[in-house]
Amino acid sequence: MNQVNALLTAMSSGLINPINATTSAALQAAIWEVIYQSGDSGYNVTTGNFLIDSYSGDNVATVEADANQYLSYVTGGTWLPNTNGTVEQFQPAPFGANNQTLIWLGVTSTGQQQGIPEPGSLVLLATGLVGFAAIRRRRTRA
Amino acid sequence: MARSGYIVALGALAAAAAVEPALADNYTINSYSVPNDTNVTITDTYLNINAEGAGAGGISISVTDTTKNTTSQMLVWCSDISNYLGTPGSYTLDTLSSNIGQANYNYLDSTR
Repeated sequence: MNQVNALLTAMSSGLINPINATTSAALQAAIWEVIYQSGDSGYNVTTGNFLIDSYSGDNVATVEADANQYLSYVTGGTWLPNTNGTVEQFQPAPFGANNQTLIWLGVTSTGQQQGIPEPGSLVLLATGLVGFAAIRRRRTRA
Repeated sequence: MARSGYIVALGALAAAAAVEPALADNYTINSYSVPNDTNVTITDTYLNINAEGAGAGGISISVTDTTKNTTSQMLVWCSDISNYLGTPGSYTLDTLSSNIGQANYNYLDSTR
């Protein structure tokens, strides 16, 4: 996940131009490579399990070169993940339905969309506060 | 004393659990577009995908939080090469597996 985080962080920082069709396709390919790489061939969209065969918008070699460059920046530490960011995804419901999962980088500090605590967690929070209040009360009595 | 310790532990545990983000909202993706829609042909030998066309690029989606009944526009990316995006569709919020990107990781999720 850190590698995907680093790729999306680079995009949000302007290091990858998502407006450009070729770089946008290269970023998508790099994300797929990270997710689907086998672990035995490194991060490279021209070798291993996941491959780009052709590209309709430009020479496929350009997309491959861009994607591989992004991946080398990530693995080489030039591009780092945002430690305040979480790669969040929309999971089709019911789980596993025949529809794509979609991801983005949720960053708390910039106010982007983040997961919202579910009611169960709020109940836990309330339980914790009640517990602390009980302790305080007992100590006050003592 | 023992009971007091138990209460302290219970309170600390509950408070700690509460600050952990929990993702449980439900969403509907109403529509989508791919601003830089270009097509790549991809192959994945592990998933037995052979020279299949796929749209590549950031995906602009209109998504409604059905819990809060708010709609917003987001730029998202596809993490899945096996399925297609269709709208409207129902989704739950989740986080990408922390295992992704590590050596020998082969699966997007436990169902595949």
